Amino acid sequence: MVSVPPYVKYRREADGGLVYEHENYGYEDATLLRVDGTVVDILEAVESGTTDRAVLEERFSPEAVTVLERRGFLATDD
Amino acid sequence: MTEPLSAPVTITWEVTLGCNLHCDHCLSGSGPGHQRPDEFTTAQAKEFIAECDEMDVFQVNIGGGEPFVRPDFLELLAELTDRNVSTCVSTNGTQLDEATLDRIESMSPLYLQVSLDGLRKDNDAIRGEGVYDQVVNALARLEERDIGTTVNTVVTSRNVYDLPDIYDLARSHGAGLRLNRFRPSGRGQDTWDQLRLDREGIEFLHGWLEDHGDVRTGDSFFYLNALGEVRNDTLKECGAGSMTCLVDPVGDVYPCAFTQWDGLAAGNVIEESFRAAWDDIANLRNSIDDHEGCPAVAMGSDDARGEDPQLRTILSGD
Repeated sequence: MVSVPPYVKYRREADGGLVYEHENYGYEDATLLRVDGTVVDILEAVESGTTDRAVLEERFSPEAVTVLERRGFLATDD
Repeated sequence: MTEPLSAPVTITWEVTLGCNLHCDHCLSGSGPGHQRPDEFTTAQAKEFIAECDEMDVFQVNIGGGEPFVRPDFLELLAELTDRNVSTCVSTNGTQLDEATLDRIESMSPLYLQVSLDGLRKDNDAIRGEGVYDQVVNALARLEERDIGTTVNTVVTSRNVYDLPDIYDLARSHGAGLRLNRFRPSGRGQDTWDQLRLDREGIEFLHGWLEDHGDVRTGDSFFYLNALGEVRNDTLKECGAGSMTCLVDPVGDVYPCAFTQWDGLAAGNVIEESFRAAWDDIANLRNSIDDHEGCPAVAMGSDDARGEDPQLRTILSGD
């Protein structure tokens, strides 16, 4: 099962999207990244209930899910 | 950025100009009785919060004045955190009674920054007699409740060499340390020559920060570290008016806390809407460069490395 950590926020923009990650604290330590729209698609899918990793990988790609996991945008529960 | 953002990433919201203290270097010139009669009402503030939520603003950083002197402040905090808007409050730490802590303990995501501008003698010389003891007491009670807290220190000529002790004090209460450079804004204009760092102080600060990577700094939004170096590969630009903005106690919107100039007001949240003000603010960035000596950062700099001339000036002691 995958989830979006509570300290990760995102939104769609005209030319892609933004991911805001503030695990450590507030804005000084936050990371703001400009991302491809696919990243937002994946995060939205997870928050809409697609939390099964296999389903997510099939719908997008295993590589995409892994990249988001490595960046800390997705958390995996055992 | 190729396209203006649909909404700010973060907002600084000064919720009142009222404060129970009257600090010598206050950037907003706040103090007792300084509340303006036309500050946000509770209903107006809640409407603004709802708009922030609808626009998907990631974080609201609240300051003042002292936010907790607003009788409705806890109600506003609940409104923000119930909507899952990350909220960071800068407070002088003197208004945190047990009933207040009872309420904020249950709020999330909420972060506190408590101001402490030196050890007892120097802090109280700037912030008022007895404030140091009140703040240390508040830090202890915040630690007991495990409420995430950072000590917020404006570095001045009076406290720069006490930073190691302030750091230890913060850590002894489970709190982080965040440093702000003293800037000639608000009452800081009157005390600039007295409290600004000289070259030796700047060099000490520079060296000390190099050895303390866990100390946070408020130099700029996202992209500069304490030494003015580009920190990471995120958006390398000043965020004023493009990623962030300031909303003052009466709803006027400016690019940032240090650009509250008449010519840069971008509309009013109460009279119009925050959406309308944000849509206007991108146009104002073009005029920020016309102001010499921005007191915050290099507004609208085209420097690809995102360097900050004003910060360089401070670091070089010119």
